[in-house]
Amino acid sequence: MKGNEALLSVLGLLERLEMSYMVTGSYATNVYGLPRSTKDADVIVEAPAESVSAVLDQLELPLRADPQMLFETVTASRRWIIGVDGSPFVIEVFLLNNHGFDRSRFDRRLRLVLMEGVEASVPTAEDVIVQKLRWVARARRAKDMTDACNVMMVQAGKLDWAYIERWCGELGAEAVLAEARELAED
Amino acid sequence: MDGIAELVARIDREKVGRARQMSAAEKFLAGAELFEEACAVTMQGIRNEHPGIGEEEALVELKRRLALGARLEERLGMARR
Repeated sequence: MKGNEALLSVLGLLERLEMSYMVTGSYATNVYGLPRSTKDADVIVEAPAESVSAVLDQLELPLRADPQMLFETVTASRRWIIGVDGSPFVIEVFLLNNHGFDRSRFDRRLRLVLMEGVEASVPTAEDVIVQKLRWVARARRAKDMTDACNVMMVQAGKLDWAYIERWCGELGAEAVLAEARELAED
Repeated sequence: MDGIAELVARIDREKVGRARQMSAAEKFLAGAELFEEACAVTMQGIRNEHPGIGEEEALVELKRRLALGARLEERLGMARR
């Protein structure tokens, strides 16, 4: 099973159960920026942990959900990992937490039509930029800065800068926002 | 701007232009497709390096290399802090 088939199969399950979710990470970045290779898909779900566990129990081979829920201390997020037998591709499922920005980007999510009858929820371009810069401010990963700049360049003229500035200010990412805007200037 | 810098800037502008031409749905699906293409090339390289290697073993080696890449990315991030 290929990565996209695996993800669409998980999203199909969430859609059938009418669970609120959105696809974040590289998938969302690719929607607004320059497409780049990704070895995983990140999905945020708004549901009690027990409900998510119950959903993941319904997955069928070659999808295999790690029965152990993990806790990430850096982001204070709870997550599960779904592996695909015979592939290094993984899907990470996170529980939505109560952080103001995480809540805001989840509430602003959009529906993206992937093909006839198949849709997925994704964050807005502004929220992708803020999330990437939040990570740059904390971890200084080069690819996060590149991703943020790529989204700024591809979406030039269409972004709500007041929203981006407000959240970058609240998240301590003003300096990296200024750096990214300079790098993304044409 | 020297020749190389001009070339890089032009290539970057072309990439942005191509990305604007693609639909959001195409771009959503592109990441995993690119990853699979890259993995197929690396798997071929692993088979060439280790003639007779089984698919399972080759996959283990591919995962090991991907983990190395992830570790390097983390280290580079830490070095910039």
